[in-house]
Amino acid sequence: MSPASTAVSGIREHAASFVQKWREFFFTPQPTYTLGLVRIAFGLLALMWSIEVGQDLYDRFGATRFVPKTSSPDYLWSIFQLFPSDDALMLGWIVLMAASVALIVGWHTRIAAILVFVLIMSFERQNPWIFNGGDALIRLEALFIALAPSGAALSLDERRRTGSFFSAQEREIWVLRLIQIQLSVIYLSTVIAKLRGETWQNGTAVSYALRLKDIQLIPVPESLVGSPLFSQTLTWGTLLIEAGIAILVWNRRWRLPVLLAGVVLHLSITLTLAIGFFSFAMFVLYLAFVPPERAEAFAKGVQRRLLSLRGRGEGETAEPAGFDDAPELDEVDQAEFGPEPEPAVSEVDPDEIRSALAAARGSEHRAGEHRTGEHRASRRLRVHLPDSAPRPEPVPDGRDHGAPAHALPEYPTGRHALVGAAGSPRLGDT
Amino acid sequence: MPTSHKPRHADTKPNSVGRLRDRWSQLRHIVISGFILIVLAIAVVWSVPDSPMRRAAQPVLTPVAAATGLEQSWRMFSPNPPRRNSEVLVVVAVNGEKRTWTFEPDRNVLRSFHWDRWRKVKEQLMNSKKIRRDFATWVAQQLTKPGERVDRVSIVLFTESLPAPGADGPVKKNVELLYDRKYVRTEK
Repeated sequence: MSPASTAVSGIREHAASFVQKWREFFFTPQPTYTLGLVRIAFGLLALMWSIEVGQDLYDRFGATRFVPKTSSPDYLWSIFQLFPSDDALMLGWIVLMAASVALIVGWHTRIAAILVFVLIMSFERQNPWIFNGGDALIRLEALFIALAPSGAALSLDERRRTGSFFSAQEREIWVLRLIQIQLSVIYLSTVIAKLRGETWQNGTAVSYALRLKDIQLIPVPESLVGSPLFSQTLTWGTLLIEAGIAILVWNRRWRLPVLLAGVVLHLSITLTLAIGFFSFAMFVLYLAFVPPERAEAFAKGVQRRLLSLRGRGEGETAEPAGFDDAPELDEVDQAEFGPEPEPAVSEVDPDEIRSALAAARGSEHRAGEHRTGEHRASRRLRVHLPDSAPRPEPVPDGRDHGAPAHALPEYPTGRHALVGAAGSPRLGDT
Repeated sequence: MPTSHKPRHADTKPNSVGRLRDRWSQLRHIVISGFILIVLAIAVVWSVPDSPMRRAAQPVLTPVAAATGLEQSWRMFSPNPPRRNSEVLVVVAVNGEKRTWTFEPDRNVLRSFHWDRWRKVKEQLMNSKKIRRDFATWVAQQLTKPGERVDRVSIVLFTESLPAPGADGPVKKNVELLYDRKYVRTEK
């Protein structure tokens, strides 16, 4: 064999090996639990984002907005250019919120994801002057979620398909890979850009950032931000963590430590500096690195907890038989406890069940791991108790069953809100 | 032979379906791989520092990047964070009276998301001339009632330098006029 042909065959082997690795990296099918988690987290973020966008809607995006109304540069599009009325704006905002909720629960996920992407893109193009890097990242995530089979796990779509919300299909993970790569791109590029600045080199950058009155939230004491040692530690520590995440997140052993360091970094940024949604958008990217088996275990844990809560709730309210997901309950119980003979309705004495339930609750209070006993009893109670039967007293469990509506922040809207909340014009002589 | 043709057809049918499926899968992977390469190229080109490679590639990729929203920049606080505190004041003169508008930070963690939008507007006013005229006009509309006539609108920037940590250097204060427009009254 001539040296030339040897070289050619060597190149071919390398190319074939590269193609093989590429296919394994991007196109290996995996359970989509991780993608389901990413979708839910992104849906929550999109909902928060859309609630914020709704404030001062017309002042920021409407016909009377405060930015130049010149035609957009090439290739930039917004549906609000096609429908330039304030009514269309309001409709778009409502649809964005509804689609975000649909994305969280995975209801007609593909359509919801496309709507969320189109509307986020449209709002950002309508007034690009008010958005920052965090909003750009949300836009990118919306595109990735719209491209991915996001409803293939932990979704109402899956429940419609298989009967269980907590199931997942196996799919190729190329979009998840793009999300993971995006995380490295962000950290690498920001470290490269920062290393060109003298304040990042001499360790003073964080001190300057923490003293900017514009973005201060919880102020850091002057004695700390004025300390060169403190500033250098935080400045170089930030660079180290960002560079560490960009590279070491691909190493299975280092992944968790560097991501935890990143969580600490972003949480401290969120508490001290007003930079919008950036940290939360980064956390969505972090979730893409959760191994599918971990994501599955987490999802199943949530499912068990919900079933346990529901079982307790049903014990209190004695739902009639014919629950649409009763087979699912049986399925889970059998998987957990083995098959269990179901007594006939006529064989069950409600008093006996109530005492079994009370005993199970007693055992739960003694030892949390025996909570399953209550689950079984309450399930029987749900199926067999007639509506007229006396209800067992609810057991105060001290759990948080959701924040009351009044606990949510109220956001003022409209022009008056803008004047009072953001612009806060001071009327008077200069 | 008719007898041999039939079973052979029956045997080959699943194979051809399988081959078609393989072909379709391969084609799909090739198309998706092309898309992945474009996404990665945009991410890299938009993220690297200014360079001949970036200047050459950006115009080629801009149509796809802008249309899909893939353009990106991750340069917050880089190469350096701002080293001065700033305040932007819009002054509107109406019938000899001066009315002012400022951006006042909101330090509540929950409301900070809303404040961040206005902080961004302020940053844009400081860094870009494009938005100043429209913003000044908008503020004038906010601060006047119907029938009132605006004489002048100005945007003023006040800055105060931050000393390096541990240094007691003098604080430099500066005032800069970012925008100024006088309206001429025409008598009827």
